[in-house]
Amino acid sequence: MKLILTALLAALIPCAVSHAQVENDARKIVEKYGSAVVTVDIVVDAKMTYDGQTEKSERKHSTTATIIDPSGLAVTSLLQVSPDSYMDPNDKADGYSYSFVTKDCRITTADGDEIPADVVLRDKDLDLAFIRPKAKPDKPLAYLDMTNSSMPQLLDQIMVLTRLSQSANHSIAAKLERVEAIVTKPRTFFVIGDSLRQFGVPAFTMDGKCAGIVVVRYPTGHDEDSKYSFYISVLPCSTVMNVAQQAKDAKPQAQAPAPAEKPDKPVAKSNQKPPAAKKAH
Amino acid sequence: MFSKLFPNYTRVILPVLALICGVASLAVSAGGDEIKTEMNAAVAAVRPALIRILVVSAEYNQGREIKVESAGSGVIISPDGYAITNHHVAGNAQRLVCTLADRRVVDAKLVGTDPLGDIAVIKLVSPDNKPFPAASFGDSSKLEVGDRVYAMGCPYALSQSVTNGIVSNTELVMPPNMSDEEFTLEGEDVGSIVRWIGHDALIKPGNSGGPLVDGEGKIIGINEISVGLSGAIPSNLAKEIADQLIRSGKVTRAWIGLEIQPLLRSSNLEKGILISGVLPDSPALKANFKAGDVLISLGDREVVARFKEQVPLFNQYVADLPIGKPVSAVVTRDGKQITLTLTPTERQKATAKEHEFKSWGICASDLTYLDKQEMQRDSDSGVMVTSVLPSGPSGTAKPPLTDGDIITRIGNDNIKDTAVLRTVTKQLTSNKTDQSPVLVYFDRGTKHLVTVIEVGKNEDTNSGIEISKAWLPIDMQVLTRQLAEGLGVPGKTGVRVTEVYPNSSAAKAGLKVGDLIVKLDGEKIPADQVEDEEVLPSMIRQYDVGAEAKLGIIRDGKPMDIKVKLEASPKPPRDYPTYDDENFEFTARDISFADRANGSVTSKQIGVYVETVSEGSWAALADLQADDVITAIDGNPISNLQALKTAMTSIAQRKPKTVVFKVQRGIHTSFIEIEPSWPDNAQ
Repeated sequence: MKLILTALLAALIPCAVSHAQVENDARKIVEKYGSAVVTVDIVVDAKMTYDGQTEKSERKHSTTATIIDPSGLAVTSLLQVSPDSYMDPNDKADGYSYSFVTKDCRITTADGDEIPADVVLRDKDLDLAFIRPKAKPDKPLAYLDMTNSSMPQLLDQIMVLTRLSQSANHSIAAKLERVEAIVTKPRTFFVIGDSLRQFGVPAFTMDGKCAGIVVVRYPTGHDEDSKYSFYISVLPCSTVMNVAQQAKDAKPQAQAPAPAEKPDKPVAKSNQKPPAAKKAH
Repeated sequence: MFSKLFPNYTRVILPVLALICGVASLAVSAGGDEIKTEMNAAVAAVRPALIRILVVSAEYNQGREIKVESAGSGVIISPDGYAITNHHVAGNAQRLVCTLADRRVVDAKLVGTDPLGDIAVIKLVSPDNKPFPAASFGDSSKLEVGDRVYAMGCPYALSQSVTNGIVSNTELVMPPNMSDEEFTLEGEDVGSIVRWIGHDALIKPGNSGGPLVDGEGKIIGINEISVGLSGAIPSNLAKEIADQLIRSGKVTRAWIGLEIQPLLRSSNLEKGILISGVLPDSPALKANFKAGDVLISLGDREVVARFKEQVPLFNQYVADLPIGKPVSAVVTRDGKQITLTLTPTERQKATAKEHEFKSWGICASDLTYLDKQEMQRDSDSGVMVTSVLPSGPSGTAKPPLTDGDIITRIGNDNIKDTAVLRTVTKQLTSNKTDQSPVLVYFDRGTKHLVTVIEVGKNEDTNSGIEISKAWLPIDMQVLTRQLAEGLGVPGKTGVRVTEVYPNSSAAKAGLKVGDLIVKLDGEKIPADQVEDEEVLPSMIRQYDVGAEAKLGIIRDGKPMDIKVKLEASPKPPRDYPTYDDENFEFTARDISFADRANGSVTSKQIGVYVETVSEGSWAALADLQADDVITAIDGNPISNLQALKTAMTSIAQRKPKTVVFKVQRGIHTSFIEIEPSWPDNAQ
């Protein structure tokens, strides 16, 4: 009997220690990066066109984002910023078509400061939107350094940092998830299940390195069955950073009329240089 | 279209089955020469005066004034162009366009409106100063159940139409199980003074405001509701209201502040009306009326209201009492008769008109007597917020204003009403380009709050641009396993080219429809299921724009390589700069790649693409539609957005009576004649 008990304890103690270690690591991540996770309040003007005429109404909602540099550049899920991003612009179901324009965007930092911001770049392909303060902040903002990254393996435990809603005082929250699938085609992303309800937030491997940003992957095909099958995914840091570089350089959207395109040449002309046959990464 | 013309009113709008212009067809079903002769005469007397009214009204929602279109009916009652209709048709009109029976179209102006009686009077503008055909009123008090009547109007905005039936009820009131709200217009309970003429001549949405006509061709009612039976406002009441509206632009009624109900059955009384309540600050309160009193007589009239049908008659009598002159009243209280004296005052509106305050991002109204009582406020000073634009200065304030808040003070200025708010707003915003933060004091229920609002136009927020990535300018389908076998290349994966965009790098490189792309720079393309349609585009997006990619293709069964320079992905339509015309209320942009690629615009088409057209706008009234391409304005070609902006700027300065757009709608071309009403001062 004694032998059995001893064996059982011997088996359980490392397990308990291991759990305690995970929680300890997780708390360190929260402490280190929690301030980089912010709340974004957005008002969009929703335009619904039917039978040639358009009705407008504004909708207000909050989402989360991750600040990725000290100037306040933040990344979030495009779906949260522009709900029409998953719609095919040519798909006018029952004669209705929808479009959304951002009317107001404000970042609320961890210490409660509210910063008016613009959406500067959208990437529908990756479900990313980049938000930048309208004015340079008085002091550098807390941010997540995405260069300190890692690639999790299948079934690895990862921790996602989020912020709760206003009713919970926008408190920081942590959630442990597992990598349920690694999709590599056409690009790499990590599927983490469907329990998460907040996107644009960072995911970490348990060694404290950033695994990427949580986004929504939705199908682009015309298969009715898969039309509404979304995956909550983590987009690797390298992919996000590559786009972020363009977001840093992005200029505000032009408001004044631009010259018309030549009708026979509908393709936008590239102003980027190299004809060199190389992949970006 | 019909759903837009006949929005879901809180009341059931008048109806009709249209026997279009149907004198002959009516006669066939009715049978008998006598009836046919009567119908012919009745219709001939009124039909020329019958009008279809297209109405552009203002609604207020989310801090914005929004125009809406609807249609109704009316009838001309004087040769100089006065016409009667329902308040719920034309009472909030900003623009009225009438179509006469002879198909002429003329503008009209709102003369006055009365929500309590649901009657409005408009005046048609004669283009040639010639008199209009007019119908005359009959005596609705002489109607009897069974009398033949004709409902005339424009159901569903169809042309002038007639249905027939009989009078079913001369004193129709709403039963207790029907919500009063359904028959309430702007806070006014129409059923409190109206006993409808119930009839079975079919009426449909669009018949509202049209006449109910007797066998002699006289107007004996104005059709208003449909509750199984059709219901018309009796002509005697309608005429009385219309006369006042024509005379003074408004209806003046006396008010005593009594709330009343029919006698309780248990009272066993034969006469009188039960006082259920006495409103604060009212003549009745000053006269010492009390809830529970039974009013036996008022002035020189004995009061009898044992049934609900009798209550509107009492209310009509009260409304006609002389304002400011004392009148005696006898009540029974605790078994004793008491004589009281009360002095009626002028009845105020139940609700006040809403106004849009763009600088604040709110819609707001003055407080009425009823608002003050309902909200249990000490005074009617203040401005009531009726809706808030979420992105506007008031919607983004901390705390934000919300519906029902009462603004009492801005900075050091007390805000008594909307006129004061307008003046203060001008002081705060004139000659300023930036927002001005100001303290705004407001009441929310019993709480007295204050907030900081940055009054003025909001700074534009950017929606961002779509990232530009490498793109192969073709359209494609996945080379599925089955397709590969069918095409004689079993085991191959990749895509089949379905379209090569003209003048693109793919066209220049020689790619053709039917080519099978199986490799990209020597790498297999792992696409073999329908869902894999994004595989090759995603692989391409990994390249730099301008990079050269080697495509391994199979053409006519033979493998070959083609080098293609990758282009930048086309700019999506939403990233195109837009022009927003505030006068005609449409937005437009240059034609995008997507417009041409999806076939909604032909490859050679020149013009500007209409993105949105606001409901009720001048552009919408003229039938400009989203997805149209404007190709010319007043004969001048419009080739791009700059040309459109130049043209519209010139139009705004010249303020012409009509502007003609030439538009392309798919393969069809049409000319759209816009007839704007230019305001003297833009707000």
